[in-house]
Amino acid sequence: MSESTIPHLPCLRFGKPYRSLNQSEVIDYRDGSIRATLSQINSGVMRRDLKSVSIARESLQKFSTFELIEICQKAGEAFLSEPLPLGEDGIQQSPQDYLETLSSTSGLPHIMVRKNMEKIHYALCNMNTILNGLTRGLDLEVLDRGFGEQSGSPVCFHPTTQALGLVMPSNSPAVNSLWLPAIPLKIPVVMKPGKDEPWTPYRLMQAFISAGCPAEAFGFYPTDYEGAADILRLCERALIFGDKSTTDQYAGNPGVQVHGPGFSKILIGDDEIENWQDYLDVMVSSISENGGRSCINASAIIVPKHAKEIADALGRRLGPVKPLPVHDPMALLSGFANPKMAEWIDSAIETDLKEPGAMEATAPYRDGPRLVRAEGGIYLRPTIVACDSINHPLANREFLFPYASVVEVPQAEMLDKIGPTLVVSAITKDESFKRALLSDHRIERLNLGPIPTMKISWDQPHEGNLFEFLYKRRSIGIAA
Amino acid sequence: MDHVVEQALAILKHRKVSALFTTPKLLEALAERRDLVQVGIKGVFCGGTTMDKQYARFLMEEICEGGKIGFVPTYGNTLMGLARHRPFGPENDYSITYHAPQPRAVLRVVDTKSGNPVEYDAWGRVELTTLTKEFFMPRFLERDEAIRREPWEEAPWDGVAEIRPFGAMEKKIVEGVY
Repeated sequence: MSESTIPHLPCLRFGKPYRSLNQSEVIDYRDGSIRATLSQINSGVMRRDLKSVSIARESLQKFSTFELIEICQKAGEAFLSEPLPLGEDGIQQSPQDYLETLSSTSGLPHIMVRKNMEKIHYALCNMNTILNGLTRGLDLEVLDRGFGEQSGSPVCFHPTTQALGLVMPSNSPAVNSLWLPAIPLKIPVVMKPGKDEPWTPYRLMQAFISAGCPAEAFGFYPTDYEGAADILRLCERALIFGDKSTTDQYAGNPGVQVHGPGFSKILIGDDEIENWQDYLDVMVSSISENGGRSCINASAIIVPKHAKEIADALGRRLGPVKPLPVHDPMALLSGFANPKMAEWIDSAIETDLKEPGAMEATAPYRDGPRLVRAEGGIYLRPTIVACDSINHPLANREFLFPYASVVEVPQAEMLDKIGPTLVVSAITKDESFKRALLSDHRIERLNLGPIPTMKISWDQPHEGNLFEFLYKRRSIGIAA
Repeated sequence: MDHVVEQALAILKHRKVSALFTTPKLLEALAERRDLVQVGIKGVFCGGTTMDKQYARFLMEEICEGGKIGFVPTYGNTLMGLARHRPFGPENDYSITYHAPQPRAVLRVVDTKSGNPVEYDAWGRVELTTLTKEFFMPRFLERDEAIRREPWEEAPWDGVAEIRPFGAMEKKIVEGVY
């Protein structure tokens, strides 16, 4: 690509493009070629814009919620199927361009980008269902009027913020579906995109604008750590995605919804453990779908017995999986946009495998090392580790590739030992175990039965409820 | 920083002030608390810490509202005095070049290994020589790096541009003013 054809993604200052003099490069993970330049703004620009955030909010308040839901639907179609502006230079990005470019900078194979596109499309086209789930069936006209009735009782909601702050990750495009309901909820967004993945949010914003949404509703601010901290500090409500060290800083802050590692798990009860072979497909897909990059991928299989046999069976299935060309529809692994991250993960696993009580079950079925250079990039091949104890350093870890531990824990101790878990798929028919699972406050989403951890419901938030985050109910009285 | 801003705001409230000497970050912090045009500020001498091109543009276009407040970048110290800046703006991407007050002080941009000047428009370390009745200090290496620029008709000797702490691209450096 010649320099003149490299697209430039400007900052969007509540819809107005702004080309910064500081620019970063978005790089092809295979050969380091530049796929785009990205305006990097000093945080003062964003702080200044936030002073006039009320204009952005007013731009959305001119629409009814129903009209904004219709805009979401049109935006979904545009996102999936239509060319959309990419930067200021008149460049149009076709869906195929988006797919190939995102794949080239994120390492996700085409098939996974396609699935992520379809997830986002589904979320936009089914916004009515999502809002129904988030608001528990509230008549959405209540949001237009500010008050109304629900189940015979008066209700009144007020927004908790003028804008939703977003500090986005680069790991998986579909994570953007989490902020989409903010637009029909009439809350503008102020976003720092992921360093390697500006493509999806930028395309989504363009899709919204092309569908008739006011451009003022979108702040797109590629910025530094100071800028990210300002988004979290100045937007009264914000979502942050990151590793544990990042998200720990904001734990307990009611204005910041933290999306860190999920530590999602499959639990098999005493009553079903002898049938474990029937559930191998569920385990394999939970561990490996989406390249093992999601917080809803299973990172541990907790069983009362047969851990070594289960680990071996998973090793036999996942050990031979190797990198394939990005356009291969059978590709299961993602390349690493940041090779140092892959090297760090590989060395962390090797170091912890030296601790007694862990055995890698994939190694016997893998022809070569875990870290491989293939298809022009760096990959980590799937890794299953059988651990003797939940206290082993590898037993409750999450990495950005298909990784899981298999650990034996007596059923009666499972819930106390697994720790906070985003998704639990519990394979059991034992009513008392189910009741214990239903009562446990540390599980965000509970699947009862052999359901892959990756299967989520759009009408039930699995990690925080955006409506409850952005709106607060208050008591109201109106004179007759 | 807050206590400095509070003091400055108190002075701005109770005194008629039309010129500010301040650092870039303090200027930005003050502007977040008060509309400096409305307060009556006519000009700002701004220096002491890094101003990259984007930051200089932001201060000039937005904080100083595109010329409503005169924006004068400064570079210097007690040894050198103040270096004069060359006109800058959108035509040169807000790249700020300074020219030392020769002959009392001479600035060069040098290669740290050879000690020789780098090529024009290349990065090197800032070297200061002062030659006054009071003090002769030859070839003192400043803690800054900069781009060497060609002479300017109003100061026909080399300029130093886009000054930043030495090694800023390799490691994070905490800047301060004293």
